[in-house]
Amino acid sequence: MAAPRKPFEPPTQEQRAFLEQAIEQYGKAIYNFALRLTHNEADARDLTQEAFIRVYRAWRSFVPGTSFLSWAYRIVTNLYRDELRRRKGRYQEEIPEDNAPQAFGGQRPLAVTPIDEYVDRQLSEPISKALQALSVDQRQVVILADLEEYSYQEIADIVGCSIGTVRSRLHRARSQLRNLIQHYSATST
Amino acid sequence: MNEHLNHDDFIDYLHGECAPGRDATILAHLNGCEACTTAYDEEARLGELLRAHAKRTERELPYGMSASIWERIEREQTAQRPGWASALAAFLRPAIAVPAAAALVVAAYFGVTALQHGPARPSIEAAFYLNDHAALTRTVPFSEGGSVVPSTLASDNVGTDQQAIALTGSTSESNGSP
Amino acid sequence: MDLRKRGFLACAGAFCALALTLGATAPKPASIALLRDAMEAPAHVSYIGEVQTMRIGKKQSEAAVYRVYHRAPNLTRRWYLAPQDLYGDSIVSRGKTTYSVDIKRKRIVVTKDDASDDQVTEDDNFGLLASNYRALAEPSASIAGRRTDVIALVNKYTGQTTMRVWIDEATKLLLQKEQFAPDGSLVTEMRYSAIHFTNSIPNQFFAIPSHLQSVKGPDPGEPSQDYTRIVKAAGFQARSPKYLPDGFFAVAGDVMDVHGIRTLHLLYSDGIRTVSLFENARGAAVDLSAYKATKITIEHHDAEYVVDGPTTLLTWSEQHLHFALVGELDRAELQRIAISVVP
Repeated sequence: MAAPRKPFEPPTQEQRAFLEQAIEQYGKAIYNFALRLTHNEADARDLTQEAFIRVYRAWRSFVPGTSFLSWAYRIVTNLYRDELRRRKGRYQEEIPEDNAPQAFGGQRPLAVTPIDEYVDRQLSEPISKALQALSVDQRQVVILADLEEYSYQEIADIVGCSIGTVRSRLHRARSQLRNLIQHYSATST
Repeated sequence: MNEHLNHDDFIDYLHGECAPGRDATILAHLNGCEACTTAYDEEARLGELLRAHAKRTERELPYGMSASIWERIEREQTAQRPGWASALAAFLRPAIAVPAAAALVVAAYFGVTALQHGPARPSIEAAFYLNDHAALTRTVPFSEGGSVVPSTLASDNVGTDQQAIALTGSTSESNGSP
Repeated sequence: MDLRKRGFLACAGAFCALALTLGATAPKPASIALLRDAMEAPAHVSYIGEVQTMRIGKKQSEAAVYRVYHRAPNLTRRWYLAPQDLYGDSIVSRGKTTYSVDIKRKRIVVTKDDASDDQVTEDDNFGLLASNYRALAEPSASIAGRRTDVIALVNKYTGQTTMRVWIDEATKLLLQKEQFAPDGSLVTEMRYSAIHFTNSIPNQFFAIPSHLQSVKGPDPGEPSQDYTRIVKAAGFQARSPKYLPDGFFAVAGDVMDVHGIRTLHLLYSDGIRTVSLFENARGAAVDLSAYKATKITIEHHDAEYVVDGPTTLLTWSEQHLHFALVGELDRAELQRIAISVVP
């Protein structure tokens, strides 16, 4: 016996506008989150596209007044976890060819002197390698805590674990990052 | 506190995740301990490096991503769309018509009832005057603008029923009392 | 030398000795520029600290303790440690917008305050301070382990010390402030019990929690110095006081619609003390139900007043106009102003 079909709900103007605004306002942030998680351009595109489809389908479950980005990151995190389970392996690491990093024309990076800027650039590759060397769980927590600047409670809600787990993952991740960055800097000179 | 702090303490402190009392203890310790201050600065620097790295490697949303999302949605909707006969049957279901009629009756009843009562006598809460006075006194040197306990944290009611009136045209220097 | 000459010389000598003694203890005039630096310090100096603040009314007082994180020029977070009702709540200011994070009510009240960025009125007020008050340097003191310059601001008309400030010698940040009533009693005190100057304050400290509901708070009026325009925008024949205490001038005003009632607000200041006059022409009285009001009479008009810490609100009506005077002046002074508004 075939499963009953869901009644078809034609898309409303509101639903379309919701997605349009979501892509315009948050598309870049969600894509970069996916890219930092996966370290792979093609996988990041797929993950981003799938996340927006989910956002479109589940648009009514978003609570106005709460953070859209937290909600969307939760979707991306769940999708990524499902994909990892499905593949049971690591993503192939690619050197992206298109969409090369744009010149950052906005506010200055944190380095305030040319010397600091030079030093930061020199550390770019070791930092990249160190992040890739972390486990997915640890990388997720570092991205959300240090780059996206969420609180431990918010990270726990996004990732679906306890605050204690977030705290211990972040402590271990940063401890590893300190050592790895040092190691990769030393071996690259 | 005599013993040194560890990196885990600094990580929680940098992320604003310590309880206020612990936060104060760490701050006090950092004020007097050079070794811990050095370790704290290391941890802060790691955060700065990560953020700088993220800014440098940030990408724009790939070209065509938006179009591919809409394309996929369109494909799914076309696959799901019912025929014209089932659409007509759904529209004529009593489950839609009856609640709609009831809603109209209720709205009409309450509309008439409201007209029978006169408008309430206007008044303005004293809190509005105290808060507006406090707000404008922020321009006074060394002022803290009013109450020690902010009204936005002290009251259940935040009183949003007020609106500034735009003063059109440019302002000019005052010459004293009006 | 004859006796008169010796007597004269003796007197002159005594006078000189007396003058020298007085000169050693009398406070020296302080630089107004130092006060200006103190006003502008938060625009350049970043810090983390702990603040105790107190407002003392005639019969009751209120106090609070909070941690403050300030990143120049205009990012500030106050994290409340006391009183118990505020513990864990915080107020984050980002430029003109303020986010009051209320943990117990699970909400964030968002308000926009144009006055916080009103440099013109601030400059006017500073000018009034400089002309109405003498700034006298007092012996330096240590606050939160920092060496500070102490300045007393003395009202030129009344001779009373209205405010005393402690300014950090190195950064010019205000570390302590006391304000006094005309009778010399203390009415407000703000003091840093700890301070640490640092530029490394992560963005996390200024983040707004995403799991709380955002609610729009009351937006104060847009201040203006153009009185003709303000009174015109009010849309009714407004009254102004004919009497103001020495040194007071109108510095700013705004017009608000409160519950649909057009309300005019004029702020008068002498650079430190302030008084506001509110008027509406819709017969809207002040709702004093949340306070313990006292009834009085002003020139045959019924009036009421309430005291909220050091602030007094005095209200009365006349025909279709309703008035409210709000300020830190004593009630007698407010009554004198009120009488001068009534024709």
